[in-house]
Amino acid sequence: MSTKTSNLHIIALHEMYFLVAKVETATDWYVRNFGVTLVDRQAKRTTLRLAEGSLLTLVESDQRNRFDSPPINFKAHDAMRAHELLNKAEVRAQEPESFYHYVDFDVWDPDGNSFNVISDPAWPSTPNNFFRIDGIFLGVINFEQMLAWYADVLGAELEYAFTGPTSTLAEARFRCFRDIPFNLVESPESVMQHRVCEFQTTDAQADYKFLQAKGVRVTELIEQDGKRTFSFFDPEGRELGMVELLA
Amino acid sequence: MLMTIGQFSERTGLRPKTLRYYEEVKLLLPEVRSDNGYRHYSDAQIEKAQLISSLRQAGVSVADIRQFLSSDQAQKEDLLARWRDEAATKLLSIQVAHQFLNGLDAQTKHVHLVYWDHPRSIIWFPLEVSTGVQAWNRSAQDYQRRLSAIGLEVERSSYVRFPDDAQSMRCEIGFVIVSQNIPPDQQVEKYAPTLFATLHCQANMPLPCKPIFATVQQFGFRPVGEPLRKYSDFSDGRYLLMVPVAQY
Repeated sequence: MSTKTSNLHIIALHEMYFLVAKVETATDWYVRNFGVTLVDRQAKRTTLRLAEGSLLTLVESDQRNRFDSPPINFKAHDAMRAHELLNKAEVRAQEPESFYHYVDFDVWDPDGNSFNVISDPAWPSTPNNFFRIDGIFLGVINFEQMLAWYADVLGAELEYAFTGPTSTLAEARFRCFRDIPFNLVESPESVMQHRVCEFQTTDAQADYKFLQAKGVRVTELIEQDGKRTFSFFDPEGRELGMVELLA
Repeated sequence: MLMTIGQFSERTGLRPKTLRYYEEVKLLLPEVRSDNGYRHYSDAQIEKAQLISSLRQAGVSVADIRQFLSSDQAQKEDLLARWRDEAATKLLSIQVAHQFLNGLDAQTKHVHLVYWDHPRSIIWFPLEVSTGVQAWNRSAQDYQRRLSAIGLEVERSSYVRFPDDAQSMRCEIGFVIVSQNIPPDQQVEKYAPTLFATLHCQANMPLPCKPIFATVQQFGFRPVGEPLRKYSDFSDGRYLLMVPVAQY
């Protein structure tokens, strides 16, 4: 499938990275509470997957990323039921908000990484209540400058502009781009010590060339293990990965 | 004492042209027409002329004013009640338009306004909530065939609603009835005239609720009832979210 709705060929959030103190402990916590499947284990990192293929990689580190607002969503069939179970398991979670069965609430893992759990009754039920990791809501410090930069680089139209509370602002600005899983959040205190995430693209070579021509800092384009990958950096230094899964 | 049209114009503040128009449409005839054709008005007509002018400025039609002037007390009360309702509707429309324009920006997806200006009859059926929109499509087709078989004509679009009961995941699918004659054994719900803020949505949005309700609020509207999702085609999961709104 080739869906080009912007300058890049991004079709999904492929992988999200969370920094944790003890990778084994954090892995157990996610497997136990969210039914994720452990798909890769290395000395200082594990990779977890939900039913629809999106990945969460836990990286052991003394450093922490700081999110003013949850950067990703765990999509669930029934967020109310999820909240009950998380409550019983003494997981730190906000009270759920229900907008006529659109339900959402924030969750914090034991390392302070936050994410949102949401459900919409139009989503069919799946064997595991949680079925996809979605997003991304990227916190940026200089909001106007970064919005202009991302709008130019992504070449995507804005779909929604709204404000909402975050941990640092009562009315932080949110901007959602149209047809790509990419959203910006005004986050004056966000800190990114590690690669944030990886997007799935249908044409890594074209995206690589485009970003290079645009003057965006990129890492080398590598092809191995059935994937083409590279990273690019935004002007505030965030590293964002791109991956094309080769057939 | 009788007044010429010029004197009467000065006393009432109404232009002679306006007074001649009132005469032409038989709202206010001069008390006397002299042999030379000149119009003459009486003191007693001043208040009537000003009332007619005021009602015209309030947007009341000439026919309605004529009826009002010839009505008894009870009929006048009825007419006034109707005019007040009409004025309130016009005012709401202007306020809503103002709010809509204030909320609009040139860059992002827009909230639109849809006004159901007359009551709609909707027939509702239960829908299995856990099955997803593809299964809803099959259910919609089944129900539409069933309605067609009993001679009930409905619009092509389907409406899905989730009664606001957080403890249960109930879901219903409804169809707007076009037929004039509804069989008495059918459970039909009347929807009163309603103003909706609407947004085109995709089932796959990363965060479905917050942008929608934040945008509705940004326009200065307050959700006042259960939203409807209007599906014209279930295949791509896109729907029109219709949120009944009132002003803050």
